[in-house]
Amino acid sequence: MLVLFVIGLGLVIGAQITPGATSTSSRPPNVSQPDIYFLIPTTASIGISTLNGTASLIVSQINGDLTSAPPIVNVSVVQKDIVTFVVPTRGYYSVEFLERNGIPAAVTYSLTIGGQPFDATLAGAIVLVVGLVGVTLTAVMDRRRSNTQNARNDTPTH
Amino acid sequence: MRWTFKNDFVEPLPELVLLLGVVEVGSHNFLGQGTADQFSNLTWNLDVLILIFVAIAGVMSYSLALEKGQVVQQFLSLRISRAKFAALKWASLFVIFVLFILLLDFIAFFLYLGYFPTFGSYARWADAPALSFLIMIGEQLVLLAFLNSLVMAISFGIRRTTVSLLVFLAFTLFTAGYLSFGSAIIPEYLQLGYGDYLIVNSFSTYVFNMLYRPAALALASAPDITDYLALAYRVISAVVLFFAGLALLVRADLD
Repeated sequence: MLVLFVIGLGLVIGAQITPGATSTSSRPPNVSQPDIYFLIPTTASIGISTLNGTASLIVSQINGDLTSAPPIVNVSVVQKDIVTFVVPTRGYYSVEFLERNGIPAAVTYSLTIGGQPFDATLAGAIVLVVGLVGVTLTAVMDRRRSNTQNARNDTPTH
Repeated sequence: MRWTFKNDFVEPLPELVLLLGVVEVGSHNFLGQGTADQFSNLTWNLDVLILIFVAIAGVMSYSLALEKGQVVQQFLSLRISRAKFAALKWASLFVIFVLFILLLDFIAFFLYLGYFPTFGSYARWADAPALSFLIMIGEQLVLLAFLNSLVMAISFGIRRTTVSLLVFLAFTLFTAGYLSFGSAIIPEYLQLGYGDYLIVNSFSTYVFNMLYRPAALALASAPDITDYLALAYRVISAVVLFFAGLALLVRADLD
């Protein structure tokens, strides 16, 4: 139980000190393979530096079987736009910019993701509480057992 | 093993090291990198923590126990030879170290993968993180065997707790990537931490290519001689130091 408590505490502290990160990508036109990122559940933003005209920004999670889940972001963007969204779960995500005719657009953008992931904080808090309850119960039971043993030892024998 | 853990591991050293290990594992944001890179780097990131843990636990189990007379007491009460006792002690410490590192590895597994892999699509994964994870565990077993044998040989050779601790830490930290990176004295592939990274990185790339890519490409990504030397250094040293430790205890005057 003490191990659970320590792991929970470590996960919470680790999540709280997780730093943010930024990645910049410059994509030529007509490249069909989207950019793939491993994202942690926190707030993310995409800032577009260069883009000719309008494009649709699509961010989708990639499933375990490599199919794409429904997009979590599907908005129309122009140059200098900043799109902010919340990453729902930890995993791989694809980021692509499509022109109106469905052709990948030439674009330069920066993806910034904050620290302090929600899932590790929550999981850590749950494990920490379970460990704390376990440690407390074990201590209470040990004390009771000790008291019972002392009472037995103190009972006079005839 | 239980005896070793209860008697030789001073509370709260294991809990403190575990806490620092979980914080280290759980505080990474690896945007723009593959998760295979994270597993290649994990041993390097935990390197100093592992060295300090093995140093304190190992020196207490071998050197301090010898100074206090617990070693003599143990093999006399168990009615086993000195060599068998030292081998059992080595094995129990090794299992404790491995369990400790596996706990951290599996926390990293959940945090770095995010979801469980679908093995049907495994060959198309760009970075093959599960393969890198498995090779990393194998490499960690070799590293822990090497460190365990080293601390045993130093402890049974010097037989003074403080001096043994200082010698072990001086040697391991001096040969750790953090402190000797770029050193002309110690080649990078022999450095603890950075050498471990090189082994996991090169072998996981090679095995992945052998499994899923054409033979010519796999051959082109074969590990360098330095990667084999780094692995051989750990394996051969582990075996030689283990038998050196046994010989030192068998010949020691314990009266």
